[in-house]
Amino acid sequence: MAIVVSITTLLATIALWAYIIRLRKIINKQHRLLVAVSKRIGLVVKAFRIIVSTSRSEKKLKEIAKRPRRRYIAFIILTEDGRPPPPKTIEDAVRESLEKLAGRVMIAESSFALAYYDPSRGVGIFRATNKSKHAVIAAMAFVRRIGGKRVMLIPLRTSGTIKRAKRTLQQLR
Amino acid sequence: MSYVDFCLRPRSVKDAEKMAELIPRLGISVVGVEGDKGMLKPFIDRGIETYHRITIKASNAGEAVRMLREARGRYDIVALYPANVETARLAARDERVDIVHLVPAMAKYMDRSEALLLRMGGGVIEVGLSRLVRLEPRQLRGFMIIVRRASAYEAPFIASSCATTVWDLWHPRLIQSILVFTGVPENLAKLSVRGSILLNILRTRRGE
Repeated sequence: MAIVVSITTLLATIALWAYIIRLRKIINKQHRLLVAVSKRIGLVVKAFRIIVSTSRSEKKLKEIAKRPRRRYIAFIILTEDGRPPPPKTIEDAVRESLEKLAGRVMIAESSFALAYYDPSRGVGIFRATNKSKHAVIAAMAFVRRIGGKRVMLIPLRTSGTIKRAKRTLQQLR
Repeated sequence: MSYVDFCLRPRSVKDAEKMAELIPRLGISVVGVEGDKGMLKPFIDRGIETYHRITIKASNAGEAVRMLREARGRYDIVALYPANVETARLAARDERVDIVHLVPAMAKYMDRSEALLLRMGGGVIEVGLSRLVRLEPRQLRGFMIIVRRASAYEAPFIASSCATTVWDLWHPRLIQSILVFTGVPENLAKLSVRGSILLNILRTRRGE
């Protein structure tokens, strides 16, 4: 009788053990599934955040693109007699050329000015906006004479800051 | 990569020397020079890649063919200045012509057919800038039509100074800005001042 009871107990224990193992497997499987789902949810949230931030930055970029930004055009002036003309004369000559080429509205929009000029070296910097820089450089091409002397304006570099434009002029030998 | 100017017409050797002195400062490393062989020497001496060029001015197609036959093998670059639309078409189609030189008054010659014929002939359209200096609206309009149509019909084009003295030279950045300002896309404007299409043809011909 005792043997029968012990065998029954053993079988019951084995069955219970097998059930526990199966249950654990099911729990593990569910856990893995939950982890995977949570990961997916995390990815979705991340993607959503990226979409939101991208659209925000795109909006910001569009705003920046609309806003006119300053451009500094470093140039060198070559003259027939080797003596660079005074700054006012250069500015007036380029302004006149710009007016002929693109009109007064462009002058007003471009906020054109001679930002820096070194008469001893014949180098300087024109200020314009990002939208009008090509017009200003094109206008420089049509300045062939200043005060009866033959001149040539050579653009060296266009930069976003006057500091960098000045650095370009310093590097020039 | 540096810039090109395929049309220089120095009046004397002295002018050529002055040009050769300034050209490297403008960032130009390849030039096409018209005139006798002596005009080329100052440029070659300064290490500038120099090509001997001739511009044929033909009043009709028959004369153009005869002059092209005579010029063959004697010059590195053969440019044709067409006097009428027939000559312009012939110049675009003919493989012996490297450059079809157009001035603003010839804007009507630049159309889709010309662009298609250029692809057959392998040449490029050249627009001279020397006539633009006075900023006359008619000249500017002709120039704008040529360059806009050339870029729209995908015809290769270059802009050259055709300078006779050192003061007639144009800095390539200035040319690029003029092209962009007149409505040419920025990348095409850059290509036109670099002249890479014609340069590849010339270098292949020289065996480089």
